[in-house]
Amino acid sequence: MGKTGKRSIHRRAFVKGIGGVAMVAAVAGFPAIVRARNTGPIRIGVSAIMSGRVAQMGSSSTNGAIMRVDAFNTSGGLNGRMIELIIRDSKGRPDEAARINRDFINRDDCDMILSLEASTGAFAVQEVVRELGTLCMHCLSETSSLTADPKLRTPNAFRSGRQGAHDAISAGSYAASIAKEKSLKKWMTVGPNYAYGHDTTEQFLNYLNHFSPDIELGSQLWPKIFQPDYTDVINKILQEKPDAVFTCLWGGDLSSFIEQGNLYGLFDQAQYFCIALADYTTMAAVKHLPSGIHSGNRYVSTFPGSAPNAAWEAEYVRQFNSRPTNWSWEAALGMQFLIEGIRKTGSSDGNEIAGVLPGMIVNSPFGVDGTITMRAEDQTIVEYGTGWGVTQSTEPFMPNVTPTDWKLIYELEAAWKKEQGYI
Amino acid sequence: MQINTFTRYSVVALLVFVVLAAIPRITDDISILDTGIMICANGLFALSLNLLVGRTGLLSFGHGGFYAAGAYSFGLLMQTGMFSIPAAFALTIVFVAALSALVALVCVRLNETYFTFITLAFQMLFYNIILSWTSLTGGDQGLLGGIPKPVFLGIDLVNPVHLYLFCCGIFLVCVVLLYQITQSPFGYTLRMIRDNTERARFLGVAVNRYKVASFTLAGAFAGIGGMFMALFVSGAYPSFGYWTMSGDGIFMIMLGGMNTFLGPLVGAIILIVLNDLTTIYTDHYGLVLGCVILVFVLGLRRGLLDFIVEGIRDRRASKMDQTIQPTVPKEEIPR
Amino acid sequence: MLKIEHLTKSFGGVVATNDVSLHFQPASLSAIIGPNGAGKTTFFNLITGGLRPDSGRIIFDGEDITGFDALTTVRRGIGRAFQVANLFPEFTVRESLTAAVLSHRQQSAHLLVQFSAVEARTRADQIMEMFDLQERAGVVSRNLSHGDQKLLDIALALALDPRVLLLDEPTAGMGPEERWKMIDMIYKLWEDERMTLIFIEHDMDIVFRIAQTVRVLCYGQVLAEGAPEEIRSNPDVIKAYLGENFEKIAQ
Ligand SMILES: Nc1ncnc2c1ncn2[C@@H]1O[C@H](COP(=O)(O)OP(=O)(O)OP(=O)(O)O)[C@@H](O)[C@H]1O
Ligand SMILES: [Mg+2]
Repeated sequence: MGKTGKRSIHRRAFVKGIGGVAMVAAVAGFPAIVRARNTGPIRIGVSAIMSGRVAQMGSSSTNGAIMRVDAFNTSGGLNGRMIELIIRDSKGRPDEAARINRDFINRDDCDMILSLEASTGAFAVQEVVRELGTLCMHCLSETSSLTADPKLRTPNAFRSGRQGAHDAISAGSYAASIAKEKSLKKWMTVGPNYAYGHDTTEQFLNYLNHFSPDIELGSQLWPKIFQPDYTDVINKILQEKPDAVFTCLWGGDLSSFIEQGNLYGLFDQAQYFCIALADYTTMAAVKHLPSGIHSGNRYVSTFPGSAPNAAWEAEYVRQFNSRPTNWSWEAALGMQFLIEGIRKTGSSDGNEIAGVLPGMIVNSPFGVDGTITMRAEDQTIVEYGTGWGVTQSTEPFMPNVTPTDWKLIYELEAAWKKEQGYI
Repeated sequence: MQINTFTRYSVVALLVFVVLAAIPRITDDISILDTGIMICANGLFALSLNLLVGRTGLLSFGHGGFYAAGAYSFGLLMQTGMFSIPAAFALTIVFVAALSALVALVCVRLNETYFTFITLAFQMLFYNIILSWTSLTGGDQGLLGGIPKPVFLGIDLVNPVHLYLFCCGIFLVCVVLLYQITQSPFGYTLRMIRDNTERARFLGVAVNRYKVASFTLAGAFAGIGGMFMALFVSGAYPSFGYWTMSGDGIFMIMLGGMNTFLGPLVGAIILIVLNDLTTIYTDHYGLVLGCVILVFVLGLRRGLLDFIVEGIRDRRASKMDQTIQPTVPKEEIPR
Repeated sequence: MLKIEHLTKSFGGVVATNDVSLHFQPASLSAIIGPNGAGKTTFFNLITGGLRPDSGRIIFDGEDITGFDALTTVRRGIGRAFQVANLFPEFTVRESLTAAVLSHRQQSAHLLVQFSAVEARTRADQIMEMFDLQERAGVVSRNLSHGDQKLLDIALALALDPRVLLLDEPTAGMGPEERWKMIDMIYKLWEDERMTLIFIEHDMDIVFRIAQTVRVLCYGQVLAEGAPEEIRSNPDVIKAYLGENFEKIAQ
């Protein structure tokens, strides 16, 4: 799955430090010392998937968070109080995620949680923080219901990442405009065979139909996640000869699909819409990236095409010797919100910070106009850069991205929420 | 006399409970209690699995299915808002027992390899049902929205201390019951089947019926473990019913020992503590686990508790031999 | 009591039991002899439900039990011991016998009592004494001497109070002294309990000493049947079975 980020030295060092303290405490059988809340380091528990097939998710996102924390600490912290990250591997298991996060709160006395979990893990963390009331920032889970569904929402948990609902609107409107322009009638879909794949495809088709009601839907293909061989899928597409194909394959799966499709000249024969291609680690993993593939921006430094964004990428590459991913910016942003909250309240008290986060606007290289808002009503971010562009085979792979109009997103999102009974 | 022994187990269990109940009074470190709950859930899972593996000689590779069934059915019942916790608990036990009995009826007729295989197949079936019946189970996102924990009899399971005491209490009751099962004629009949199925049959043991009963009981206890876990994480997730859960159960039995009653519990504790420590100190959980298993397999050649208990027994036996019959040559010790 | 009619069983090309018809009287003590591979064990397996016959009938106490499985057959009162002691390796002698007695009394499924304290132990201890195993009560089966294992195997069958007891070479693998001890014990057992006892034996001296009737199997067929003296002088038997030994003795 592309290059893996080099492990941060900082992280290692302080994890060892914390570990040593915990070990001494455990051996001596001391009960945890309840520290006064407003002195000493500010502790933030980070649970991430650091092992297994999506280990890159953990490494590239923790890198993003570490960068932010280092900057905060170098600038003197909060009146000399530094942030300590305690990073642990949940292995992607929800029960582990629940346990680790409870431990962060109960044993390690963390002031807040930065959750770098994928969907199931994130929901497990959500239940923990709902019960224990600790401030939590979900960075990577894109499942809309996490914040959209009032039954799942909790006042102390926020999201600093993309949301499926936003991406679907963005994808649907963009694809419909291209469909009109190039009169793409016959569509096929390819999605990984699990909830994310089905939901994303369904939502996309929903909006595609909304904007362009006259399309025809051919076969829908559901390869297994982590499937090594896409010959079946490719043959089926060659047989059906659609005008356009939508796929929400991602990461290594998408790279393999494109690489194998290349052998059959698949990408010359139709327009491809990949919701998750435009991440450097995915694009760079393909030997000969075909030009002309449409993709949603995951993370590209050309969009938003601002100096701060380019500078952020350069700094990331300098520190970690690998390219940032979509997960990197989401985690960096989540960390930034927590830090701004700490600064604004002058405290590490999660409750106080949770009070100032709703509606907070931060300057961010990832904002469509240089800022990102933590929307108060559902505690999730809006106005982040989301849009679609077309690949080229050489760096910077996706030079131009057409941003999706947030007004359009708001309008359709509200309709969707109504339909779901969320509002 | 009979009642006496049973009372004795109960008294021991009560004493253990008192000790465990003292922990939250000594320390206010909730994470110790959390670890306790994890041990209850996984320990019960491993002990119940050993009723099959160690006692009946049935290598089930689908035990996680019943753990998941317990977690999901308890969670779903509670989410309806129509049941108190004890009622949902009882209904779940009945449901999981019925489910395991059904699976057992299909599986026990098969020979050993196929038995293992088909239990794995059932587990995959359950797993896929959980994944695909999204409207009920939430699919691969798990049972969302938390599990309501209404107060009953003054017990508030949202409070981690209450939850810990609740799990410890029920866990100890289950351990006493499981121990009684292994010490009863029924338990010995299971051992007969394990040692020599054919001979058991020729002695008039209705082998398949006992296997079904054993499987049903084991499933029901695993379901209770699943309920602990559901309460702990306030949800239920497909990974509870994935084959790796069953694999962990087998690991726990291997680590702790299958011949000593409490061996699997010791194994569960080893695995959990190991997991806790490796997540704190390294990212190489798999590597550490692999090494530990190698040490056990190559070094001890059996589970830890078996190693200790059997070691003591052997030593005592050889001492007796030396003191009573010091002149008996080795060859004459009956083979 | 036990009536076998035209019983046949073949394994592939080998006809292990070939049209065997035999009748065993109640409370009789009979022996089955025959050279290696004659089909003796197979015959026992057919009676006890270990194997299904291809054809023929087995009538026990007026009931047709042909094709019944091991469990049902045992429940009807047919017990057996095995050519190679067939035990529960991890059970002690006392535990093995207690378990067998419990099974016989239909108490194996009891959950609320302690195995170590069941009433059935008294009976188990009695049986242990009958077989002179009481000193080995606490020894696990796999650690018993060969002779004791054979004894325990028979004791297990006896724990079921069978009306028919089938013993497959009870003295197999024993030294001469042990052998006679075993035979005396079997005889005493039969005298005390008066069940229908059928045993397979290679040693002629033993057979002739205790058996009332002797059946000779050869290549799956009944070669001869009658009182020991008759068999001893039957020329077919001498030729087929004793021939080799006879010549040896004659030398
Ligand atoms: N399960 C089986 N499958 C195939 N062949 C078998 C089986 N059981 C027995 N036989 C064959 O049937 C024949 C009779 O075997 P059986 O064991 O009944 O002989 P036996 O008279 O008991 O011999 P021994 O004195 O050696 O115990 C032999 O040729 C044997 O190889
Ligand atoms: Mg034989």
